[in-house]
Amino acid sequence: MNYAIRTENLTKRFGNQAAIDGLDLQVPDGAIYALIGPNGAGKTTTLKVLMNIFPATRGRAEVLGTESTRLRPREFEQIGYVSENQEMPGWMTVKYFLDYLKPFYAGWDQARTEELLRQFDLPLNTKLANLSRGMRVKAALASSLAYRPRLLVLDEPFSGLDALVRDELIGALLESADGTAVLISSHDLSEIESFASHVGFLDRGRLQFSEDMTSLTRRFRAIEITLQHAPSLPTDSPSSWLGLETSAGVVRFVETDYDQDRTPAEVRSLFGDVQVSINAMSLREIFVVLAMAGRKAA
Amino acid sequence: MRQAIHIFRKDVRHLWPAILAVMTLTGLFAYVGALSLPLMQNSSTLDRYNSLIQFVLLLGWWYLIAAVIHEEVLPGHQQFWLTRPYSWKSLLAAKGLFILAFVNVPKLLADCVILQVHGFHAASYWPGLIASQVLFTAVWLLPYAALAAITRNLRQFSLAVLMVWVVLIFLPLFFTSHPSRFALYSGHSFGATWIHYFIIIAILLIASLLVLLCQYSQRRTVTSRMMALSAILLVFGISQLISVHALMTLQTRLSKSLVDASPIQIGMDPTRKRLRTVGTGSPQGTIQIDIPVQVTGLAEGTDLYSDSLTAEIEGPDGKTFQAPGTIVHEDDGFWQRIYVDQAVFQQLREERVTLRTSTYLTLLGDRSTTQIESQGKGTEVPGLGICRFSQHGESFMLVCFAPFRRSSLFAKTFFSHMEESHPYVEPGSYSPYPAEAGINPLVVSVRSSGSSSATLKPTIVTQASLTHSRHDYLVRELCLGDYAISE
Repeated sequence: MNYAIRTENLTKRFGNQAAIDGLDLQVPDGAIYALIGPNGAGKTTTLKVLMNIFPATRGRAEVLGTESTRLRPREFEQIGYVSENQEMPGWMTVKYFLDYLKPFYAGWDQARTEELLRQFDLPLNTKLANLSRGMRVKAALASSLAYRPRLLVLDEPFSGLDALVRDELIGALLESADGTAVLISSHDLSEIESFASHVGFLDRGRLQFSEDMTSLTRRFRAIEITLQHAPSLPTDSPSSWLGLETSAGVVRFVETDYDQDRTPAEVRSLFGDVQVSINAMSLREIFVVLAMAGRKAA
Repeated sequence: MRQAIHIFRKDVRHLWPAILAVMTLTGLFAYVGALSLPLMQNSSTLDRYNSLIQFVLLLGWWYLIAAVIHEEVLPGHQQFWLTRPYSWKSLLAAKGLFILAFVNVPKLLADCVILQVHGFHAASYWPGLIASQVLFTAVWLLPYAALAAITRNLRQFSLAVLMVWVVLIFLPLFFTSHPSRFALYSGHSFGATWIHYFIIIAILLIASLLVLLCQYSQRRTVTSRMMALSAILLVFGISQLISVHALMTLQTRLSKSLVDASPIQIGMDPTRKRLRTVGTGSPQGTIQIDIPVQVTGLAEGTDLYSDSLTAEIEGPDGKTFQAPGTIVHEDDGFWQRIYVDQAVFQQLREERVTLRTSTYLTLLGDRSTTQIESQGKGTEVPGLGICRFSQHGESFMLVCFAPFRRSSLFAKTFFSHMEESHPYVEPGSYSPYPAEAGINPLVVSVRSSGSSSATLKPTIVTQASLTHSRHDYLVRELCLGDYAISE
């Protein structure tokens, strides 16, 4: 398998604080990889190290087959990067911004640019500084999709945007991302779930898991056991059970390694012949469980 | 190069109001510089604003430099251009091109206009024009470009400039009370000062280039800021440590000697003594001691100029004290003038002390005399520049203009109807380069001014420096009290 991004033991420290710690990440070519994690998990730092904005303290990262520290204009012609806090040249109008960027990219597609401008309904003669946040993100995204990059890196692009703008951006992203690898960090898990092909969970600078979305949603299940009497929680429950709790004759936990034969058998061996309800989980629910487990462990 | 021009055009499009303002100021600088006769009594009102225009223009240049560099801010991690296919070489070239186009070239044109109008054929001074541009860039542009490259906005840039000024300009004023360094900061003309400036300019140039290269190629802001800070502290340290004597040691090694100075000998002349008390402006807290000295081996038609002198006074108890000074040539011969700390003098005034002197002397020769035309007409004094004399009522003034640098010639001014056998000697600069790091292409110096009821006809006598030599001599059993002048 070819990877658009690959990191090995990637570490970035700010003073004594490790923002990312021994990160091994692989984003396959053509994948839409969602990097999720609580605030301060190191998502933005990871993307900035990948884009050679920050130098890594240790380890290495490869972006489109090139060491991230050796990314040059030739590589950046194949990469699009949009960040929520990106400083844009506010004095430029949307039109001038796109016209200005055009000569930097050999593969700039003017027809695609005009299509994006129409799709995003961007006001051509308005200065970037006078655009709303949503419009600014649209302009940034349009300027990054116009040359059909091989890799698109998006840092919290939907943060603070209304649902309509989010849908527009996701629509454009999916339309343009044919064959483009996308690495996206976001808190908007419900949206990400709808289009991400892979997901990685970053917590305190460490990658807790990284897998394709189908395997992840198959692996996690919310389990509810109804008992006749007030139960006492078993001390020898499997390590794959998270958030084990009880209330009013009901035991709840999250199975992080669900197997349709093994999991019910493990439940029966600890609780006897009981009524078990097994429910699929959304990415958001998985994220909350993992974040809380991480906090407890800390 | 195509990308550099593309970025350059974008910068011009955004910064055109600032460019226009700076161009206007440069035009004004050329206009005032060309038409004004600074310091002359018939100078126009505009002349009085000449310095102000230069200062505002300087601020305008710095603003333009900071603005163009801050178009693509280097420190930080949020800038959109960081992940765009910018080549750092193109970006740096674009900024260089901008500064060249809107600062250097207009300044060069303004210099040419000023020279031409003042009677200097600009094309004949091309080495000076080039050297002046190099020095102007090294001193007035590159350090500020480097500061812009390590700051994020105009506020940070202004603070950085202020900090540099405090460390390099204002702070030294508090550390220069020692008389051995007095000449470097007192504005006193001194031939070897160029070495001091050369060292500082070299440090600033190297540090600025390193900072710019480091920032544009690597964007290592912390490293670049440390480099800039180290350079500033180094310049400050060198300014504090270097003495006139040390500069003359270097100057003597660097200069090509045109004559042999070995026959020249100096020793005390016990036959003479000051007959009158002469009040001179000695450094505060010191006593002036004038010791008669005899100079032998001086060829006919030559003269001596004392560049620096340090004396070590050894008391009867073996304790030693340093005293700076000079050698002056007066009607009755040569005098070694030293400035002794008041407390030391009080302690040793009646004692027999040993005086060890080390002095650097410059032998002057190739005398040339030029009569200056009266009433403001410019007279070319070979090697010195164009001099203008004006006399209105009782007050008179003689001002000389030289292109790009102080003349290398030593000059004395004589007036008819005025008895002055040993007038003040305006020393020349020993710099081998065709320009100094000034903003104005003309170096203006007042050769003489005062008042006289008679009609004056000034004459300037110039002499070239032939060689520099060091002389060490000893005087034993000297009683300082016998030679003290100003108590």
